[in-house]
Amino acid sequence: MMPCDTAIALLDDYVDEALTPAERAALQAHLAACPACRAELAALHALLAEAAALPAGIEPPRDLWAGIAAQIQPTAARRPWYARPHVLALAAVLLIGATAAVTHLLEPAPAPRVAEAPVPWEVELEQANAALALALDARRADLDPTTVAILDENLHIIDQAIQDCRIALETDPANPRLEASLRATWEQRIRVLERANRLPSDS
Amino acid sequence: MIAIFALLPCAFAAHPVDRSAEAAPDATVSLENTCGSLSVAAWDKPLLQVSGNLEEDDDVLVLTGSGARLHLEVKDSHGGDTGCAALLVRLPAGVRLEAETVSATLEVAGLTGTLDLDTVSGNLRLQGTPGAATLESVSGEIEIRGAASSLDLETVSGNITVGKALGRLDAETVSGDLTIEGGPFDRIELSTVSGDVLLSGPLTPSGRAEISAHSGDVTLRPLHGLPATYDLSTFSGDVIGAPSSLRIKDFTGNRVRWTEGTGTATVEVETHSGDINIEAQ
Repeated sequence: MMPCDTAIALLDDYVDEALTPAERAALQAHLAACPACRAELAALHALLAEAAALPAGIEPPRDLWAGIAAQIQPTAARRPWYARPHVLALAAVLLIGATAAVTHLLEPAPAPRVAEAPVPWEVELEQANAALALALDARRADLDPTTVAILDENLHIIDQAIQDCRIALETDPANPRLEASLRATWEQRIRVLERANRLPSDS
Repeated sequence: MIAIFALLPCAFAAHPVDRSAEAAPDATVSLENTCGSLSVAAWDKPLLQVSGNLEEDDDVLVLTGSGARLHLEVKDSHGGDTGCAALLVRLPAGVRLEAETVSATLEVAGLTGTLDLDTVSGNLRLQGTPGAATLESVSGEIEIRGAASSLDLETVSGNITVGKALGRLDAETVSGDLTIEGGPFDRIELSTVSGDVLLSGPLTPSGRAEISAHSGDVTLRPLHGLPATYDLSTFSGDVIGAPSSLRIKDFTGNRVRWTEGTGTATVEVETHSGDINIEAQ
């Protein structure tokens, strides 16, 4: 029977009906016998359905995404569906949409909007981080648990630093060094996630 | 104890390898060895020669290409990338080297071309005078004992030690410590979140050092009267060792700024909560 890695790598083309008849038959035979891969297929269908239901106006930052996509190197000849750039971009869109929806629901309607919205660069960096974190989550099982623990511990250190910068900016909003530090810390988080997504399997 | 030493060679003795291929003086060579060790040394022959021992019966040493491009890799019995070996690879000094391990220690000595070294948890050690080198690890430590003209070093939690280097140095960690003792440097950029930084390597007369740490402490050893402008600032840490008369209050936090001599070099340090220590001359 086809191994799961191969099956997962074919899922994206399967839903796009881009497989050859032989590939399609082999994949369907695998899916019939493999609950885990059927769950992956269901997750992919659900992701695509949610993306289709989103308003057309929400798009990920394309320039930033191009850089991220270039950093996430394939670990096999055919990337699994969840590692395909457009799937990750869709995931980022979903995250943005969900964040916007939650923000909208929680926001008291009559209150005037306070000018505290994150600056555009921070929104963009948060989106890039979210997409990369999603890509890392999809391959955690492929990585050595020790490596994953080190990555998580250090991402937590970075998150604490980001939080420190934000708290400091509340008390000293005009301090340009704090904003520069916040930005640099976000960018370092991206570099760590990019590095994590480049790691070979079982490392 | 004798029994232990008697057993040690057995771990690798059963599967020796010894292969070679023609290699141009400026060839591009890529090496992959997941675990064990990988030592690379320069020699004066137009050959790649690899010798050592494979860890398992089923592991396979794959050597492809010759001349301008060569690839060496240890594969497991299924053709996967989990093969392990203790290898010594000899190469022409001027090759461009790309080497990758997971947990294997990677040591490179004597090469003068461009180096790109990558590991996850293995330690990286570099000696010699490469033209430019990029070294990356997750938890492995990086140690530089060479005079590279340009170094880019990056870890997540591994420590970085630069005992000797020249030119440009860019080093970044999240929680690893940065210890920089080489130099003189034209340009240094050091960045860490929670790791500590020690800079004692000198700058050139027009050199520039930029150091940032979030919660890590930064220590500047005496730079031996280097004519430089120093600008040290911290949000909630302290600047230790600087005369209070030099302190500036132009924003929240502590800032110390002064110039020695003509001040042609610059040293900028910035932390959030980490202290900045200026050791006495």
